[in-house]
Amino acid sequence: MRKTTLFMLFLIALLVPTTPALAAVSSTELIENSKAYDGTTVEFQGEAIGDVMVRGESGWVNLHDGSNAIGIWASAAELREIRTAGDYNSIGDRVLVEGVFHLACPTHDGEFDIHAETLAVVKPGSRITHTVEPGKMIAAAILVPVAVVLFLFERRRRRYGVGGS
Amino acid sequence: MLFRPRLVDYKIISFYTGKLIMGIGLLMLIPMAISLASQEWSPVLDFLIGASITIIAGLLTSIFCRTGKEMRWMHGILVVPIAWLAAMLFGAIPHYLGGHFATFFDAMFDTMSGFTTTGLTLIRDLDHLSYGHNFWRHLTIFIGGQGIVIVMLTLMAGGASSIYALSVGEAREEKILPNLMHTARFIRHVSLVYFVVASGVLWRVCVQLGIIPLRALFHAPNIFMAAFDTGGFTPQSQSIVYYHSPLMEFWTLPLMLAGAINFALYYALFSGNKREIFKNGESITMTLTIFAAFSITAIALAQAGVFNEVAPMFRRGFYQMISAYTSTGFTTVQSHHIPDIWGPLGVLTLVVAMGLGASIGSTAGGIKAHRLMVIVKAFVQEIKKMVLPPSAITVVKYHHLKKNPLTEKLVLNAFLVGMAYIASYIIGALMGALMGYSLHDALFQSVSAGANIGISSRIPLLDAPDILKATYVFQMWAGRLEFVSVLALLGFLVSAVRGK
Amino acid sequence: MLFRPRLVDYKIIGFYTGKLTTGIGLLMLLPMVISLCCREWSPALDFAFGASVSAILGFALIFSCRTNREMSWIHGIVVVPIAWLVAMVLGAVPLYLSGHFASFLDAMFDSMSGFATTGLALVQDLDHLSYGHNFWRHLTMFIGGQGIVVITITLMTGGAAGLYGMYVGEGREEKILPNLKHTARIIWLVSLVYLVFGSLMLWLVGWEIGMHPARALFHGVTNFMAAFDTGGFTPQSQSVLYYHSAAYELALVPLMVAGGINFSLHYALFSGRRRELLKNTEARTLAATIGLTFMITAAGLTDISGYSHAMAVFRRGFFQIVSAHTGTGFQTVYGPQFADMWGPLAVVGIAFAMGLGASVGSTAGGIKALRINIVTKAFLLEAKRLVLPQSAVLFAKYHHLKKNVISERIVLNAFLIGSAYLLTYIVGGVAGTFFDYPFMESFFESISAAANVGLTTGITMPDMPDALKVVYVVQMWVGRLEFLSVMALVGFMVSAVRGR
Repeated sequence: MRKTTLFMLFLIALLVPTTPALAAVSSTELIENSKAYDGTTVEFQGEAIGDVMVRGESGWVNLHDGSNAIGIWASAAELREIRTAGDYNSIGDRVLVEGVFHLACPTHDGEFDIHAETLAVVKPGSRITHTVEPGKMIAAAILVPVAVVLFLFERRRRRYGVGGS
Repeated sequence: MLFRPRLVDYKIISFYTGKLIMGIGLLMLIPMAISLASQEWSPVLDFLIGASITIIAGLLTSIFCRTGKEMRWMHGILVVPIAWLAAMLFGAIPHYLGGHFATFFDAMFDTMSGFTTTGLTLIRDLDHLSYGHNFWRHLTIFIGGQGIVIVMLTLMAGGASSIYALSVGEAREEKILPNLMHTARFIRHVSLVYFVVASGVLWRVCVQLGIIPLRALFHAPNIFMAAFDTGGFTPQSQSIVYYHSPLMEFWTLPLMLAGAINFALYYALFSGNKREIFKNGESITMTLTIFAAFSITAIALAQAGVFNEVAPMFRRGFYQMISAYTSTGFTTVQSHHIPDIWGPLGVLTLVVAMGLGASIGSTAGGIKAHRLMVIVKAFVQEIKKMVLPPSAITVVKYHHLKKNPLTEKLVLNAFLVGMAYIASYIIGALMGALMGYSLHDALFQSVSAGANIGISSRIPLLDAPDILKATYVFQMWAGRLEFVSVLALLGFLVSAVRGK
Repeated sequence: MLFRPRLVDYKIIGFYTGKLTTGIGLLMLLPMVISLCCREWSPALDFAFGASVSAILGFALIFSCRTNREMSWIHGIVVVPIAWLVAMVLGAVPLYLSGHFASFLDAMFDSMSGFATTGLALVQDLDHLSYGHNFWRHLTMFIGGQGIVVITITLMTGGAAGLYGMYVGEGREEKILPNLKHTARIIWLVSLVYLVFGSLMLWLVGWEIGMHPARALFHGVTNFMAAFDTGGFTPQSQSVLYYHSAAYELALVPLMVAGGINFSLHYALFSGRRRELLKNTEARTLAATIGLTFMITAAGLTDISGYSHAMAVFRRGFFQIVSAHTGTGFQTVYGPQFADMWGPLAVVGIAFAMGLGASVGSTAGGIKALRINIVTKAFLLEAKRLVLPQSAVLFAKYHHLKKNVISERIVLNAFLIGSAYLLTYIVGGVAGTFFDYPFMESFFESISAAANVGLTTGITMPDMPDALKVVYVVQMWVGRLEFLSVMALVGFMVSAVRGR
């Protein structure tokens, strides 16, 4: 329910360009001007990657926006909204957070993080289907037998002393 | 007077290089198994192709170059630098086929970075890499850290003296036990014990952090290999920042330190000589260096005003310092962010810590504490000589397993190798400056490569010119091998051209 | 086992320090005469006061420490660093009295900078300084360059071993002639010949470019001393920029190069052995490193658009390289331009030139070409040794007056001194960043101080932190004395505390 309202709000924000509450920031922008953004509320969007690490009441997720990944501290309930985290087999949920950015977070011993006030999945993740290239199959089909034959030949030679030393 | 090498010399060198190449090929079957288990079919093919090519190349070389001749010292020391270059070339094949590298050269860069336990990386979209490929990245660290030659020792037979030459070429100068096979076995045992215990602990930590157990099983051994072999690759793109956890930092810290301790010292500890660690000249030097470097870092961080409280100072400052000094290269600050917030003094201290490096006979890079100690003692000796009457005999000693006298030969060697490192750092920095990067970014990156660290400065490596990447590759290679075998290769090339 | 020095040891050291102190006092009469000639009464009084203080202190030391014991090697070598510190303090007295210095520390800084032939200056409103004081600034360079001790050796008699200790203590290892007094005389002869011809040349050029003849003479003599003794003070605040003349710059270049050449090579040339210049290893190394560093700087300068054509690059770049490499420190660009306009690569070229330095046995500072050559050869030797059979006997040679075999001892010494310089450069660089100066500027200034060059990027200003001034003073002092005598002093102090 909350997710959909947020999503609606987001859509409205997109449709009504008059007073955008916050400009979305990129990770590069945050890293390069970290001192300027320190302590301000920012909007950041990226793909959830790796693991969603829930620890008790709250937890961490790392969002990758294409250039860098940034750690997001959020409540456990909100983190559970994230279904898929990106890895080899899947593209993770695209997550939008709004929260306070810290260059050196006072509560997390100087982490470079965003404490999410709101968190919403903008676009659910999907599976990546990896197709096996035929070229690779052919190459493997040729190379593997050659390697095996050579290897066996060499072992035989070593064991029975055929040729060489 | 130099002797031009004859055909048989080339043959012997190629023969053993071929054997080592074949070993690399066999090792590729491990990540293939991981890929199979994870049902990653395309990566399975990548490793199959890579392993086949490598095995074929290795076998053909050793079949064609077979001679009845025994390997001599000179051959042994030449095989090493050549084999490392070959390992870079062949190890890059599955990486490149994985599709996460822009060029084959980038894949070679990462392979060299892995084998030399550096940790600089040019990989793209690491967070979507397959388990198999990711494991191969970390396995290269493990193989390179233990020493390609040491790993292969069990695969081959040959004259003992020549194998000793091989391991000298790989900068494990000191024989722990008289018999080299024993040395290899001991190193393997220690590493395996660490592997099992530490991976278990790290797995538990990962689960506690909220990572699902199966994925934790993947994170743990990779992190272990990267920490213990002071490599510094991590399974995810954010390095240790990814885990957002003091617990993870707490456990990786001792692993990095353990990786930076001389294996001979382990032998002493394992065989009951517990007090050695307090008397050992090198471990004392290390402790002092760490203490001094951290004190300055703390001052710098307090000045810069970002991490000026106790907890951040330890989790960012101390951790980063240890990671630099042990030449691991894990970071707990956002990537490329160190120069901005550490201030010039902090960056400089990190650079010095990186450049000095931890123990000889460990997987750490850099000049190393033992040499530092020898050089300092050489100065002390010099001063004593001046103050004492000429008739007095001054002998300065250092403690390593027993009291050893400081010989001229020892001092000279420490200076030669130390100076070679400094030259490597300078050349790399010059190259960076030539490409138009600022001086301290260039120096930082150069020391990071030359001392096999792996922390990045602001230089965007991915877009760096190829010539700069090639410089770093050279620095990583020469730095890991501690220059001796590279010098030998240089001498060999000169005599091949100018000898009679 | 160290021996605690006894009272007689202190006495001998005090006695000879006293002698040197009176010498300094006597030399202050020279600028007094100049001041009198120019009818600068107040400055004349400053020098009278300074000379009296020196004389009183010197005679007090001589009378209170008189012994009939002969000076031994260790006494001689310990006297030197102490005497230099005393010279710094006393030399600063007339400078401070001039009122052109913010504090006595600033005056001591300039005094040490002069004696050590560095050329960094904290003097304020230099353009209104009296002729007498200005002459004293330049005279300190001439005195320091020729060697306070060499001056004294010519004036006095004493134990031969101790005199030799003093001679070595000042960073000259080689006697030109077997007899030390003759050697000192040669050094004087060579310098005076150059003084006459060099000043004459600069006088004429100065006249030609539109200066008043009398002022041109003053500039000629002072600039000669600054150039030939590779000091780098100039009579006006803009350094060589003041003259706006390619001809004047051109006239200074050979003088700086002459100052950067070994005195024994000068002697060889004076006595008709012209071909030595071409065969001399050090001269060749120097030519090579000048060429190399100029290429680096030129590459950096052509990269940026600051200088529009090749001649501008050459005129600024080459002059600056020669000035840096010979340890002179004349500037034809304003300090901040190095950082703002020259870009990292060009500055690195200059920094290398400074750090490497010119010849052993000249007034230049830095690591010096002979050591660079020896270290390089040591590497080549090592490379050869690795590929040749262990039984082969290998040695390298260098040409200095005759062929000399490079022994292990020589290599070790080159490494010891070379790494001491590197360490000093690094420590100074760290100190600079500690006071929040940018990375590149800190290192530049540190190398400039420790290698006794005197180029500045603008850090050396009267308002810099006092602690940093002290760091630079120490760097100039140890750098000029080439560490040996300072190490002896340290050893002496340690044995005073811990000896038995």
